[in-house]
Amino acid sequence: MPLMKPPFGDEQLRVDLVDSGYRDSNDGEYPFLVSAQSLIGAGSSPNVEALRAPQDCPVEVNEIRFMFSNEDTAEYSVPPTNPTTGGNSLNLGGVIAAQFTLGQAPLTAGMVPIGALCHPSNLLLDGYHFHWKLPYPIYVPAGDLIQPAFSSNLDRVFGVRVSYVGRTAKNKRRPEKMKLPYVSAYRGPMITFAGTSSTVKSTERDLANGLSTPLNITHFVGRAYGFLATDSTSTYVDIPWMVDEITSATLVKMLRSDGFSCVKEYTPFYSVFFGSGRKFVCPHIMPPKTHYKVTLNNSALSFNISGLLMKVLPVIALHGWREVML
Amino acid sequence: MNYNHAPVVLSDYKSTVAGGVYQLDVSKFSADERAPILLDDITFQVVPYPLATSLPSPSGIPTSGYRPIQAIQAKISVGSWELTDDFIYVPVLGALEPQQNAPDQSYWSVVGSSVYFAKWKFPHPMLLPPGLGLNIQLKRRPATENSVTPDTNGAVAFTVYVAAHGKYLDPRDALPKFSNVPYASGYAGAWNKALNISTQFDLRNTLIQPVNMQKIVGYLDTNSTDTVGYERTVTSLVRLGRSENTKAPLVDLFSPWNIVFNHENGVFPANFQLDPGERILAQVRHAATQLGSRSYWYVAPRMAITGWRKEKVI
Repeated sequence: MPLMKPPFGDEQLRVDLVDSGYRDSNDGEYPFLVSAQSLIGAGSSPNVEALRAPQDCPVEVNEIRFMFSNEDTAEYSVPPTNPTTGGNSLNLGGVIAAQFTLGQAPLTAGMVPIGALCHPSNLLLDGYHFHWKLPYPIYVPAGDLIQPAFSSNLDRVFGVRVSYVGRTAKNKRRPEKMKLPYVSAYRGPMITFAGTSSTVKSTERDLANGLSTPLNITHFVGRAYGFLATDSTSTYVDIPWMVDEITSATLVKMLRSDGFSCVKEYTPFYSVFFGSGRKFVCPHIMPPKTHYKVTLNNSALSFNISGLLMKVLPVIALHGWREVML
Repeated sequence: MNYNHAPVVLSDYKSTVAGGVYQLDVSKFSADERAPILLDDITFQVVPYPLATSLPSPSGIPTSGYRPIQAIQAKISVGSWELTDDFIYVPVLGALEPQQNAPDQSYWSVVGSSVYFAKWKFPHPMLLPPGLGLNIQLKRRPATENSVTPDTNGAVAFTVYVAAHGKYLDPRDALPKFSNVPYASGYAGAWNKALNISTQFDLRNTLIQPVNMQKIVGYLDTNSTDTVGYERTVTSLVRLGRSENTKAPLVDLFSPWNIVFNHENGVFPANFQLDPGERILAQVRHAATQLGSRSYWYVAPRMAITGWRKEKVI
């Protein structure tokens, strides 16, 4: 059987294993990586043709990767820096969001902040390289596409490179059913630590199973980002070393839509979303058209650095999967 | 259609001062009458200042070598089920977790944050029967027990958060007749000793039934201002055996602490049955009398055995 040459676009990152002489023992199955760049905040969208599965070959995608950069012209100047000081790395996991669909099937419930979708590859900087390891490989039929879209709540332009990683599946039978991931998220407004009690709540549309089928929930992810309350340009300066301190005072309660408690009493953010993965692992079945409602409180504390008030941006997501007919 | 095995978190907290003993609210750790709970773990989060006041400025947060979590002990039971035989230091009851901004996964990391986390992941989920709750007591050691000098941070109030994570049983399911119940027994060696030996009150099975051992956890408590705690794991040597029976040694010869207790998580795997009344004998000594400019006695060994047994659900 002739070796397959995936039709990568000229401007895209090329991983052409055929040219390098690579042969796989499983005839017709090769590592697969496609990649495209887009500018967020400039009204552009990713080059979807570059992300499409080859016309003559289905693929299985098992990981989606993201890399952020300052701008298109400086793609490799990572991590993105604070425009005011040129110094501190920006914490983009909470402010840049993505959504994905495969045909008519959503992988995310609308836009989901990247930091809640997946874990940064660098704990210390926490900001510009992210890998979303999918719970099950996604079978993408030949010529088909996992459609991405991005949004940001910053008033500046960032570059994002999105990559799909997996294997070609030329000789695999097209499955009748497939396990597709589903992520639904809540991105709260900033909680300010100004010394007075402040509470924010999610709505029934956040952290919801909006599908008509039950969801197999695997875990929740919760991340809290610390920011300084200054002018609009430096609002998003990351204070990573302060996050453990400030989130000790960021308290969480959670309720199920049938009235049962999930987090019964106010509990510190990272006592719920525990460990370096910031996960609450809780495999369970979530019925269709149900939701979790989260309430966050700032313990009525004040916290400042050199007179500048601290804020926390809370981001929470539920991760699961469901079976769909192909 | 109902939720099935939906998650639940039960929690409470106390502000602690050095030498204090505290009772957490049992009702906050109780299962609803309508839905029994299967608990997977208990986590501890220690914040080295009172949450009733403003958070400190960055310069006010102690950093290097300051691990407030090593001052906290816990004693836990559910009804007549003892989960611990006595108070046990939290870093050996659970496993210390990396912090948010830790540069690596090592629990020895000394970084900018002074908030510490530990998790006691149960060997098997434990049933929390309807109407019963976790009875959790906390103890913070006296300031004078921190090291050869009094704990300069003893006057600072620490807030200790305890959270139990689990899942609801489906209300349509019959209540199980038996439950796996975790068990732990600790040992806290003294400061300033060239040789520490555990006693008949340490690392023991006080139950009337055998305990299925899972692991022995070790942690070297260090002086609050000591920044070379990790190096001390090299100069501290440990030996482990079953009771006084030297014919059944676990670690026959004195061996470096971080070889016996995996330096990544402090665990010595121990998969055997510990009979009623039986105990683990631990000896800790030092290979060197001096490390850099500090003498060896800036450490105190902490250990715990953890395992589980089956209990009848009443």
